[in-house]
Amino acid sequence: MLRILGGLRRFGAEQEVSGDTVAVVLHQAPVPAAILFPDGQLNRDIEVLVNGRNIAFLNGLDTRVTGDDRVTIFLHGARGYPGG
Amino acid sequence: MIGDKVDTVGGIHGGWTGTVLRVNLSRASIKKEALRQDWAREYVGGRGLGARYLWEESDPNVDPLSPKNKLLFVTGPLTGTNASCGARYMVVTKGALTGAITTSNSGGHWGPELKCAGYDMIIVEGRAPRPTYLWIHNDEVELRDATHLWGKGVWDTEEMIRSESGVPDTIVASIGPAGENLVRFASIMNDLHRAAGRSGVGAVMGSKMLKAIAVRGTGGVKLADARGFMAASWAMKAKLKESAVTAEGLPTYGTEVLVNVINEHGAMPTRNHTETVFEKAEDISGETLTETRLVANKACFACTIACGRVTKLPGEASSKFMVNTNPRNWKIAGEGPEYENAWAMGADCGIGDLDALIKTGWLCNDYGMDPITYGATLAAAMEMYEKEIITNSITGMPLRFGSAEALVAMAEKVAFRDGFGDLLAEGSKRLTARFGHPEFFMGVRGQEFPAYDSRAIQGMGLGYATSNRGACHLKSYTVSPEILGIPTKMDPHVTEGKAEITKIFQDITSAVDATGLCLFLTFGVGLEEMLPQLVAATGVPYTLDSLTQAGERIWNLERLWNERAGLGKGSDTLPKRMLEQPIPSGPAKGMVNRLGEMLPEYYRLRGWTADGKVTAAKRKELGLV
Repeated sequence: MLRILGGLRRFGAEQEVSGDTVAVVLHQAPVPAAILFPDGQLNRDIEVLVNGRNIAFLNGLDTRVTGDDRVTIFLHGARGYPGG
Repeated sequence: MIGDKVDTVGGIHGGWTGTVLRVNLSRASIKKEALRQDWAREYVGGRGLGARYLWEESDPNVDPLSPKNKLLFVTGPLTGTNASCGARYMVVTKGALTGAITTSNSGGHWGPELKCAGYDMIIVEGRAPRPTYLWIHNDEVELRDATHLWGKGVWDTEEMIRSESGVPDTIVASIGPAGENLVRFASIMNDLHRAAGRSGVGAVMGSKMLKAIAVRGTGGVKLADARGFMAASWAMKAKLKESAVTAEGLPTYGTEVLVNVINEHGAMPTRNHTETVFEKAEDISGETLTETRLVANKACFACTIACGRVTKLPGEASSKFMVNTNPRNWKIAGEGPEYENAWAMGADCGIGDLDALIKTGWLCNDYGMDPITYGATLAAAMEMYEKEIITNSITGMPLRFGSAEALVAMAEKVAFRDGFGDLLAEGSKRLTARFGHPEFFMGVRGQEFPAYDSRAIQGMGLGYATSNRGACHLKSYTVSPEILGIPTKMDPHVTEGKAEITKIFQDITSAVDATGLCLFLTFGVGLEEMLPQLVAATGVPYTLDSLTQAGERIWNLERLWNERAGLGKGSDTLPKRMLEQPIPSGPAKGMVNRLGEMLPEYYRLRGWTADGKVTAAKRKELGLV
């Protein structure tokens, strides 16, 4: 299951997807590739979770998934800190 | 004595007005005083300047509801300027809920109006013999009888003062029945829905019989370098327009956008923190709010973000809250909820009824009380009810988790201290202790947690435990790196690096809070990008280092104040549920907060003693001697 939050919600809320890695799953997302993968790399303003864990702390786009897993994407795009 | 050298050179070129208004309600006296310019430069304004004056003038051991406690309304040098989000004023006092120093800030238009009337801050002392309000129209300042306003809600109060004054553009900060009845988490409201919300600043105002401060100012704010300021201001606005959060996310969804994000991480405290995933999160999310109940977004003074939510309920429920007379409210219902209220009254109480959250949020605004502590206190009561520690004979009605009826009904009972509401009005620390179960209090220094479970986001636990005003998300928002990946991605489940990032965030946040700018700017820009406006406005050559050090100075001064109030050693901790009870399910299943791994490193980085005491060396370094 792919779940889409926040600013990307305009492209859909949930979608059934298949594939054995996050990269494969994301290429089935209803979000345009120009937004998800500008310059061929995952948009730095987009966070990807697998079962609530950010793929940055798993195996990135190569993180393996099964049909029972839940992939979530959301756009943050924050630049400053500490409030964002 | 801290920094007792009085500045005699330099003068004020812009930003600050240079004038402090001192109001003694016991003596019915009003005085205008010169601002301590040396303090202004060292502590900037807002939170910092207020803490400095409070340190000088108020005994930390006073009863917060006694006439001896002082109540300060403090703007920053950028408040009321054209800087984006330069709308903030800070209420500084000893908190009625916590007994700690509190710095509670609000946006809207009140702070800018005070600056334009010619004042940097108001120091309120004593207690009036009868209900009173303070009227400020530029140089005209007087105390007026408020007997006819006592008992009125915030919305009526604003309209009545505006009407009777004959000055339609008057901006009012006031308390509602909650403040009058000394509800320990009463807030001070302005612009109907903007709140200095936490720690019970409204109760302090109520204890002084001060119903409102009404302000009309037409003077504007001087700038040391007007051309430089405008250039810096436009540059920052351009950056805010580039950010997906400040240009799109917050305007579109408001802070409520976090509901689904935090819940997906398994960090949404649910049913008084017994769980961390709320099954009805989507129902109360920003996405659902936007699709079903949002009328428009709304901005504070000079804000280019506009995160405010103007919302309307369908049918009969909406009519009670119509504010037809106020064009600022666009002749429609109310505002909110924000993320924190939606969480406290929603997930923390197990309630997934968005309309109930909207309605109760409006009630809290009109009664003038903090929906975070209200929701969290009700959640603690609900847990005690579910465990049969309290029953209907005490509560007067079922308090099951998930009861929207209880949420709405108890709000009124709390504000008027009616029945069980009288006990809820004391906040959850006192409530749970009264029934012999302090373990159900979820907070620090008497103040309830906000909407992030510190077992799932380790750094937030350190931030809560060391927050000077009690548990708070606005003093070190490490959700940024731990969830949003800004400025760098940090694993929320580990403790490494969290002491350092917490200290940095606390110091920088203190600095931002002192400028008069809104913390939400930091979703789009960093402190270094705000700096040129401050320099151009004041003419003071602040640097990133000196401004960050001002933040550190503010943090340490607040800490020292708390030490004097007896809130020193041993108070930097979390409830046992956070430290010992693993999360039962979800992405953070099995986790507890590992505060013990972070706290010693935090003390070391702060330059404090091993048990968290501010050292003489640190005081000297920061000029706190």
